[in-house]
Amino acid sequence: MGVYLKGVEVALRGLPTTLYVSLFAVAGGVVIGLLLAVMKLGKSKPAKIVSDVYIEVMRATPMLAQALIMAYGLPMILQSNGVDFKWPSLVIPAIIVCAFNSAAYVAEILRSGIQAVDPGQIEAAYSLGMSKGMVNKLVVWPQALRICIPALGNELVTMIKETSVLGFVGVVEVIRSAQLWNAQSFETFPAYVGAAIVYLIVCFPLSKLVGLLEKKMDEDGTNDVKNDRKLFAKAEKSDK
Amino acid sequence: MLEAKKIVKNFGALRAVNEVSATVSDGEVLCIIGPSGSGKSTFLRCMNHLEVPDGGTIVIDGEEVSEKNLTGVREKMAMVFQSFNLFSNMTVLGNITASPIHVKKMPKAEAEKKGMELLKLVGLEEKAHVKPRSLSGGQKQRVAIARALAMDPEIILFDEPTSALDPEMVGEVLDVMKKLAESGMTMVVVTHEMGFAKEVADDIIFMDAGTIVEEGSAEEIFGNPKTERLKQFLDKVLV
Ligand SMILES: Nc1ncnc2c1ncn2[C@@H]1O[C@H](COP(=O)(O)OP(=O)(O)OP(=O)(O)O)[C@@H](O)[C@H]1O
Ligand SMILES: [Mg+2]
Repeated sequence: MGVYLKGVEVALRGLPTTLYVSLFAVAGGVVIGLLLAVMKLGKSKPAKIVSDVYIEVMRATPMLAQALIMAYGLPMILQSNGVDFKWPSLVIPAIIVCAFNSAAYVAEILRSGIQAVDPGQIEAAYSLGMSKGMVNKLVVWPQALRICIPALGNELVTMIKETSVLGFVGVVEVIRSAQLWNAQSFETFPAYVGAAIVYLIVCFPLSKLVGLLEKKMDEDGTNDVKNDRKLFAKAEKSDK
Repeated sequence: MLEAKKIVKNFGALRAVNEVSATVSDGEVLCIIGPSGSGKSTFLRCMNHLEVPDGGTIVIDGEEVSEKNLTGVREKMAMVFQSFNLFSNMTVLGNITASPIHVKKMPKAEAEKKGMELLKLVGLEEKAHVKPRSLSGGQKQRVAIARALAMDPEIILFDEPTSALDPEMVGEVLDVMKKLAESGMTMVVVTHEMGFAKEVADDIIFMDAGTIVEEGSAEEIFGNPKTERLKQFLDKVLV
């Protein structure tokens, strides 16, 4: 039993790194993702293409490859071109890669959130003399972000698990902690079971919380628009 | 004064509005009636360019509406929708003050004071701080009217403001609209409420298949319909 507790304890040492890399990644992902979503939904064709290509490339390549390129490939190519470059800490490229990776998924979440905003409310805002910027700031984004909260929570859970690949890049997060301890103690089973338990105790409550949020939003916020639409559809029918 | 001159709007191959003209003088109430799909909403939405007309012009106070002066023009021309379209992320008072604060740059305190007065006018001051979702349909529509009034518009466009409401709530909304008409507000109202049109309209347009078939005062339209199409329509709606 003691050796399993030890396994959990060792894995826990990597947890702060896992958590802050994930949090920074999703926060950065939201900022970049918002930009990508706006580009995708905007009028400019080139911007749309750039955004589409970015999203497809990020989603069709493994994050491990992206992380290896960023952490080792980039300094190498810079050095061979005479630029003296070295990451001060591997956590930095790790956060950058996770943020850029997450952005591709967040962009899709935000795009569908923006498109889920009631078009009637957008028209009403324009009819009151608002500019496009005001309509976005006052009506579209607040509602879209709210609609997206559960999906963004899921993205955080996914990112926490995904950061496990950073162990292979040399970032000492949960998996890497377990690996290092395994290398000196040869307690392979307790080491990795301990790591899995640590992910479980973080991710399980988080997903439950996301589920609750989703349920709460179904009960209030977004539903009155749906109800109005139902009313509206009913009125349309009775007209005919 | 609002003038619509030979407005044309196409949706693909469908000509929804075909060279429709209308004039609304200050203080006048124009009602637009007609069967479903006749182009009433589309014509109304062309007035504030929610639908950009494919032909013709809209002139308000001698100024032609274009992409350039659009936001300014919309400040003068508020709109009330069939499906209310209240902002679900804001409180009732927030709905009313959003545009005065952001578009008119009115100080927040002043906008809220005025918002409360408008809520009193529509009988809903006790609902100022709740979200629209907790209101009934009739209450939502009265808030939407207060929101429109908050911009001090010269004219208000109504697109079937009561047809998404349960029958027992229609009256409360029509009452507010009658009060507005009496106070001299210029209004264009697309409606299926023939009683309201009869009582309040200075001028009525009957549309069918994208064109104006008949136009006249309430007495002329209801008392002495000239065309067969209007007679048929009235027979159907005035049961
Ligand atoms: N955005 C749109 N795209 C395509 N067709 C449209 C669109 N809006 C309206 N139409 C069509 O244009 C015609 C006129 O529609 P409109 O909504 O103006 O009629 P209406 O007189 O307001 O009818 P109702 O009494 O049902 O509201 C209809 O045939 C409708 O299907
Ligand atoms: Mg209509």
